[in-house]
Amino acid sequence: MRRLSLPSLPLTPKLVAFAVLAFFLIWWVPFSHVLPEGFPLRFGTYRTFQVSEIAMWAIVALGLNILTGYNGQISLGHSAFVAVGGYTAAILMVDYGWPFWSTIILGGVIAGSLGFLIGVPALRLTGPYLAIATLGLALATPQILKKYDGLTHGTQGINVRPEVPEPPAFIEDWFGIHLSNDEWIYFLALFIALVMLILAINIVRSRIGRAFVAIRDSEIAAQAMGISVPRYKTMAFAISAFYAGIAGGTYAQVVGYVSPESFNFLLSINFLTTIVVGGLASILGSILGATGLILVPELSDLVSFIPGASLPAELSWAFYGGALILVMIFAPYGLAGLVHRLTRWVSTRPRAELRNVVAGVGLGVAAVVLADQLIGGFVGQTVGWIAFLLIATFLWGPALTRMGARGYGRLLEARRGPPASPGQTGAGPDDRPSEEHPDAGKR
Amino acid sequence: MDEFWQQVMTGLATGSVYGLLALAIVLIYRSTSVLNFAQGEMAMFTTFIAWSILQWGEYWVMFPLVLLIAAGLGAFIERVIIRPVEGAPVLNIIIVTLGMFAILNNVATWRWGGIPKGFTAPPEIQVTGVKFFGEGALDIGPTVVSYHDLTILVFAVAIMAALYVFFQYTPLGLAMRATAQNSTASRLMGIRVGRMLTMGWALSAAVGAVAGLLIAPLILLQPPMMMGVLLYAFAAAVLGGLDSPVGAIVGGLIIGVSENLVGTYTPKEWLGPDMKLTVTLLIIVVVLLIRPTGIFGRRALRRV
Amino acid sequence: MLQLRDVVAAYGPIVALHGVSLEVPEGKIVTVLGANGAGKSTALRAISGLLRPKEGSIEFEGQRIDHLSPEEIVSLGMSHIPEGRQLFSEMTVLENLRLGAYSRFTGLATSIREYRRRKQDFEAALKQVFEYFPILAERQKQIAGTLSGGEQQMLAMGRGLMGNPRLLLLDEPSMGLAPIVTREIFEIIHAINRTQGVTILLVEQNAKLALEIAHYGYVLETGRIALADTSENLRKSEAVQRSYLGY
Repeated sequence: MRRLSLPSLPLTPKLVAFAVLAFFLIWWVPFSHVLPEGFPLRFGTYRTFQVSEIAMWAIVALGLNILTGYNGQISLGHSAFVAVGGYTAAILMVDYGWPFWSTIILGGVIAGSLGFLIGVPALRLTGPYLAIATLGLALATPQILKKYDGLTHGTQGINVRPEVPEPPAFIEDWFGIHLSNDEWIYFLALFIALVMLILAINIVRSRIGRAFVAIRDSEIAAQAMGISVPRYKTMAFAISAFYAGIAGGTYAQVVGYVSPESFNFLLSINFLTTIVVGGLASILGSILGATGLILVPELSDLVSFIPGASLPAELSWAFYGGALILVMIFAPYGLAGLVHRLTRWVSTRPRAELRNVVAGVGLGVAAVVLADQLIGGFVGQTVGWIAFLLIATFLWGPALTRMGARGYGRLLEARRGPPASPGQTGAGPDDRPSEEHPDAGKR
Repeated sequence: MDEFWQQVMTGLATGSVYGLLALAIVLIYRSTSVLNFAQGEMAMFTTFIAWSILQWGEYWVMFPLVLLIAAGLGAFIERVIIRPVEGAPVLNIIIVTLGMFAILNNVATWRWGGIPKGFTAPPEIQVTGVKFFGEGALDIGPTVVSYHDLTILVFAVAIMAALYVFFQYTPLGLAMRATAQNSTASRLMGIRVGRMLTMGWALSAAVGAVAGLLIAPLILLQPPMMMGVLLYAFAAAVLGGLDSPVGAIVGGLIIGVSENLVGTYTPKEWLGPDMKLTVTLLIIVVVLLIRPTGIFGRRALRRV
Repeated sequence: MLQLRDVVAAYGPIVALHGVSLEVPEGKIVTVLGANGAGKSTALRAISGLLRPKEGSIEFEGQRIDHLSPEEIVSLGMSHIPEGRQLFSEMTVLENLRLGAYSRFTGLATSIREYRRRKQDFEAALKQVFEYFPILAERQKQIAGTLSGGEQQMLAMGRGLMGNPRLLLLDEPSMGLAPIVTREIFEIIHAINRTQGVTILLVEQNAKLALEIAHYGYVLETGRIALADTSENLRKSEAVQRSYLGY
């Protein structure tokens, strides 16, 4: 028997991370609910739904980032485009019985066309004026949806759920898996998001993407280089609206219900926050931002880890606001910016130090969590934190002290000023001819 | 015809409130290019504080006190929250104001939420036999105008006039205008730019506070009360031109009046009062297309 | 009067001055020449406090000023007229001049007499400026942005003079101006120094005119002092003639 020689896969960190992510998204998120409850990091059906939401909003974020991050046009009106997509899909499915996939696509197309139409007058407006004008669009949308109820079913909205198909037959036929409705919806959202992600990466790296950025950085220079500014600006609007429309159509599937108030101006403002906090002009930023949008409200639970602290539930909104402010102060380039800083820092550090950091974080967190679980209460938390500090000092101490000493040295130097060099006192043009000037002759 | 003038007059009154809040927005925008999304919540917050003060104090004692507190709040926000992000891109600072929006709204709901409260209008004062403020209404020509609406109009005009004098004729006002135009040159003149910015925010917060105090009697005092007003105020500021204080007030008046007229005089079937916000916004967009920087706004000259 | 010692200045990671030392004696005109990007404007910005030097020291009348803010430095009697004028272009000529005197107005006047004295000082300074630049008196109420290039430079200089500075930092006053106007301005600069004894540090690309009115000169090249001498010697120096005077 001949031995099969398999190509050896390099086990780079990147490959490992990718494999973990794929496993996470394809199996863990939708199916870990089969594991017994209490299993660490188990994803119940609600969590699966949340990830579907993240996928949905990531689509909008990608589109909006193309318009605002890469092209520099601020739009506060994208909730309108999502509404167009959502309502198109809902109406076509419920009132006219169209198959779901076509309604999503058509929702995107119609939203995109609307985006193009809006993009034309938008050429006249800049900065805050454009922002407020588009905000007007977002404000008007619920009113319009309520008014023309012949088409939109008015205030009661459209219930899509009964029409949401069971996972289409081909899934069982081709793959032999039976999916529940929730699992199907998750995979649908994930698939659409993936497609839109690949599309976005391609747009951004293409000539179109470069034209967008050129226009953002200097319209006049871009024009001088032969880029048709009106063409690309309206294109950016159309593309971002298309994305929002696709997301809207997906929304109709995932949430199963559209109403005028689902798409109000607060949604638009959330979108803008998402891309700024996630990172402007960054694909990763759009995804991180969407993740943050859904998960940050959950973070207020983390406060329970601080001994003695508790956050009254009514103040979670204020907590969110505070978090926004802190992120803007400490991460002006958004979460994606933080990730870049981190990867850059990691790449410049010696292996041993990195090992220490990871071990410190891992052990420290484990200590805190274990103490909380095993001992519990105020005592448990305090013990946990003390353990954390001990571990941190032991593992990070030397490195931190080195950094601190360097920084302190620099500080001292700045205060004192550099040592005076001889021959500088009284030096001046009126004292000596040019040849003896200390710096003369140096080029 | 009476109906028409009635709508116009009430429109002018609510429009003045939009205009005052818009003025607060413009004051900050002029010096920092930042759209303060928290302006409405700041006004709402100070109005609640005013309500608390009114539990043990007189109206005209409360009024200047609230203005001072508002100024303090504005100064605090600039110094502590905005200062750390000063050099950052404008969008970042706007997100910070959104964060403040969330904080102020939430804290107000937590502290004073629940049942909406009533808020008194400025009580009557007599000056040489002429009645100012207070209850009741006045006959002016074909319409009847409530004293409170008149009050609002008078306040808006008075504040505008006072600010005009301040900015044009006092050294401090001159310095603040200079800071808004060119902060580098201002520093070279010896102007403490940081202090000017803090004062700008303080002033803006005080103007917003007045807007809150004036509108509270008309709508119930509750945490979401300023959200609608804020949106109208942004529209008014943009309509009038974001760097023009006069434009802010004029924009507000236009919006106030047209909102009422659209609500009353358009066919109910396909427009009518349900759509008055939409139509108003449409008008603004049309104006912006004709004058992209607002009615009184100045075209920014760009050096290539 | 002004001394820079080994000043290192940078914009973030980009170092613009690599240890520059120069001296401006009282009552003289000193010029700093150099090509674009040599670091001349950077030097002035470090002196006036707009840019904090990373290393080195700057002394004005014996006092260390390199850690002070521009507002504080102005009140010490120094005035920086920046590159490109940086006028308040939407304000009138008079308002610009008023702002020039701002550093002497700050704080509430403690008495009516104080207030009157300040008003008098202001009027006197204004009169002086109008003597140097009569055209400004004519166009008092005109919006600064509508003035011609030369008038704008005059306004910038007038504004700088309103605070009665003892040291004037001029950054490329000839920039963008027609030759005749430039000559006029340089004559006025000379007059300011001659009649009032105002010390002047003049940064210029127009080496010929600068060397005509200056007493001493430095040549800055890519952030380092390349030459330092009396203006007489610099004019005669072959290196300067080739690089900057076009002979």
